[in-house]
Amino acid sequence: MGLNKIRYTKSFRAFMSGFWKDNAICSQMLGLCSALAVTNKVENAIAMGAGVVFVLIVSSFSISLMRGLIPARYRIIVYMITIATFVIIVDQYFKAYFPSISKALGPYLALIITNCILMGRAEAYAMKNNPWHSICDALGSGLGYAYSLIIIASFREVLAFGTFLNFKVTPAGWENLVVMAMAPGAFFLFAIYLWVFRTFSKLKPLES
Amino acid sequence: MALSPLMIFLAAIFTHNIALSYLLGMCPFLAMSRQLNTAFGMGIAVTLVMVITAALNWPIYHFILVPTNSQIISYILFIITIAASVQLLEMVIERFFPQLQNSFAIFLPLITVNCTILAVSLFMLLRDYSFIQTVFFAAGSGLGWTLAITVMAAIRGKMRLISDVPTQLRGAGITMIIAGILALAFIGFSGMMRIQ
Amino acid sequence: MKEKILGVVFILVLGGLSAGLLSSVDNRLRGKIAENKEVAIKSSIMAAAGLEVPQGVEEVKNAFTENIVVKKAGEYSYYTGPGGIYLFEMKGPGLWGSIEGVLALMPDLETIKSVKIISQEETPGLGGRIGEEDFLKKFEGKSIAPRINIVAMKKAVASNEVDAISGATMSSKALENIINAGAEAFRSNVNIEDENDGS
Repeated sequence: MGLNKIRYTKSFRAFMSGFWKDNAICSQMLGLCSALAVTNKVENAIAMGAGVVFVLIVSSFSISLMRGLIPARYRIIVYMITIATFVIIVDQYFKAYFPSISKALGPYLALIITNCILMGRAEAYAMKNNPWHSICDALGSGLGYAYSLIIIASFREVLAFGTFLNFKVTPAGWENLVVMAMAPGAFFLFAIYLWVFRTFSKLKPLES
Repeated sequence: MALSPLMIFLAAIFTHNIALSYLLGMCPFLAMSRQLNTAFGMGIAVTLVMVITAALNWPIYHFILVPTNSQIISYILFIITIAASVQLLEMVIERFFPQLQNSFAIFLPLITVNCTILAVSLFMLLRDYSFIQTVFFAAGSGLGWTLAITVMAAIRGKMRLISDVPTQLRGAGITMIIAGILALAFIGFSGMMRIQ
Repeated sequence: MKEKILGVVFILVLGGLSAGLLSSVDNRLRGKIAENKEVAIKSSIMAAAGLEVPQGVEEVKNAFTENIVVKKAGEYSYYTGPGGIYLFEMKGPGLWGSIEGVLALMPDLETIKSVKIISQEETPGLGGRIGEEDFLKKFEGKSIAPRINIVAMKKAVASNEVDAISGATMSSKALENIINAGAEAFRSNVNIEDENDGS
């Protein structure tokens, strides 16, 4: 089985779709609140990305395990309870072991509960596929989300604070564009990232 | 707390707008801001649900969770309240306001996953608001979000008529840029209110 | 009908499992989270006293016990540090949530040695900047007698005036009130003659 054959396995395809073509942020337009709000510093983006990847994997796995039992009528509430449980666990672990990042993320970590990516993957994939493939899908979507956040955050942190992961990277005369740390900066940089990503991945335009 | 309910209400609309300052509720903000009446309808629905759930979650937290030391399950109870309120609202509209059903009913399922609703309850905890403050905060946040999405829809409507947006910037991209300009404009409100 | 009942039962079971899992996580972590809060406060007190704050939970606690003396005047507690410094915690409403901080006074009880913020929830990028070192440094050497004033428009001249953060007048004012209230509480509760007799 050559390395090439892996490209056609279901697991790999599940992973790659979330990672690139069907990227949650740029293609499906999901999970945007956090992509805008926590990308002011790279460390926050990494923490958020890690949190989402973890919760996505565990919740997609759990929902996939239960998929035969979940009543169709109440499936949304089941997704929410499952996702909320794991988000609370991650939130508590951050508060206990990474208190400064927990403070920096504030309510946004808890808002992973309403992050459309998790519900989206649960409904679109985990309910219809076995646990292993659901994990691959979750990993792909989660990492796709994470790298988008980190890229946006890199630009925002350098422009707004002159640092990258708290190391000063700008020359002495640099005037910080603090507006990049606030809402307008988030919107503008996100729009540019979206534009570049969509142009390079040749996705179908959103509107004609 | 330092702030009067009226101050909290006005701040939530202008100086600390939940969409343009806190960057919440972005998914529906993008999706529902194409048409003016859709946007406005969504905004009002969100405001209603926000106020109802905030009014329910405050007593649930302070009278049930705190005395029994079970704050750990706060978020789960909050989202259950949200889901239940949405269901209830759907049923009420179906029964008593059937004429609204067509315009409102499609939004309601989407509201359950609108992060602004949960965020209002989270801020209520973080800032330790009293009940009155919470209700005013919820109303203000909802109306602020409505204001943002309605203005956005109006602008997008006009742009469709007169602008030529680059292909890959259409839809979400240009909406984000407009939102950025709106956010900049709203920052101009910052000095608007003085307490002392 | 049966489907509905099964559905509700499933959700109840799921809810029960979730609550159980969360309770066990809560039990495991509650102590650690409380400890983090304790370490944050102790670190701030030591930083305000001009001491170096070590890394590590045990190290912070030990350094605190070695260098800072906790004193009580009835219900009110305050601290003394090396060099005869007095320190006390202050807390009050900010614009968005409580602001908690520590004030360190020189032995003359009028000159500020330093101000540190333990926690605040002000607007990030604006009011939130009251937690930044650049702003807090401005308090060093200023006088709290009769009261500290945070003035706008870069007009701070007197020894008891500090420049507010531009664009964050409200948060700056809130901090001003908190510092003055804290100083007032210190003065009214602590009688320095008793203190000298004691040690």
